[in-house]
Amino acid sequence: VSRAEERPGDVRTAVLCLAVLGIVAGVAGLGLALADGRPLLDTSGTRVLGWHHTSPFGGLVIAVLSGVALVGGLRGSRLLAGLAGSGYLLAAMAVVAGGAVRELNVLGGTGSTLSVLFALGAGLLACAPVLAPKR
Amino acid sequence: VSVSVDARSGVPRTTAEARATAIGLAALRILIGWIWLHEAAWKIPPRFGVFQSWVERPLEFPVFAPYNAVVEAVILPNFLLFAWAVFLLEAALGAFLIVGLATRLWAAIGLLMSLPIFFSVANYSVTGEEGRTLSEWPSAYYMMIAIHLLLLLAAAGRHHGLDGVLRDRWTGRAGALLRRVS
Repeated sequence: VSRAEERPGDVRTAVLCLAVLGIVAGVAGLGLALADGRPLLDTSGTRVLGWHHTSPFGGLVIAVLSGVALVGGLRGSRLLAGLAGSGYLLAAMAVVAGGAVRELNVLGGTGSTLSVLFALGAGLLACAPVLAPKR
Repeated sequence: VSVSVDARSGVPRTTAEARATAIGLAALRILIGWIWLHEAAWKIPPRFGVFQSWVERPLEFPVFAPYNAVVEAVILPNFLLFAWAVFLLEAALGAFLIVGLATRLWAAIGLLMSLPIFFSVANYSVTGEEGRTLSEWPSAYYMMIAIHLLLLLAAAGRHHGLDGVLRDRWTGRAGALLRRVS
């Protein structure tokens, strides 16, 4: 039995940590952007806790994907963790497109948002293939 | 107090020391990742106007003549391509260092990216109307280079990072490559 097989819970813990990080980023983004009176698809984005920028829609997208990751982590589902990770990378591509054409920046993202999305997407996609179902 | 022996150096150390070292390395890795994340935030595509003024800065306040030649001959004529590459790399640096994935690779990239930043701004200094001088603190860039070197040599992603969780599970040729950069 390898050292990795002895610790099947570590990957689930990592997925859950990423999901919680995403939920904080998404819910804070959604709440602060709405409190700031921004329209749903605001292209300039609200600064979130000196951390990243989102529109209300961007916050919602991050929160929903993080919810999927959370369920994936709780159930040990490779499919859900992989879906959430892929979703984050698609959202990152949308932020890049929004950088090229301002009107497309419906997530209200900046470079720091891109960094958050890369972190969550790459992290979940790295964990998903070795995530073990909960017994 | 339990005592363990470091597998690489053979130096005995207490569990508490090992734990403190791991937490310190993880905190440093996340802090540096956070700095790169913030650096990506003020580079605003598609024109990257403010960033361009920083890229042109060494021409006025030179640090290293060969770098200035590269700025004039290569970077400025292809500025948008350069700016997009820096924007994407800095966003990725923040991401991968914060989660501790492929950390040695990204620490090496961060180290290499610290050099042109040093060559661009280390000698920047202007005097305002009130006679106040605004200048860079060059030691900050020496520290930036040193911290990336530390993250690289200490394989900081193995301490409370994804590298530590995943590297034993990476198999095959791709896994061997990932283990090398983690």
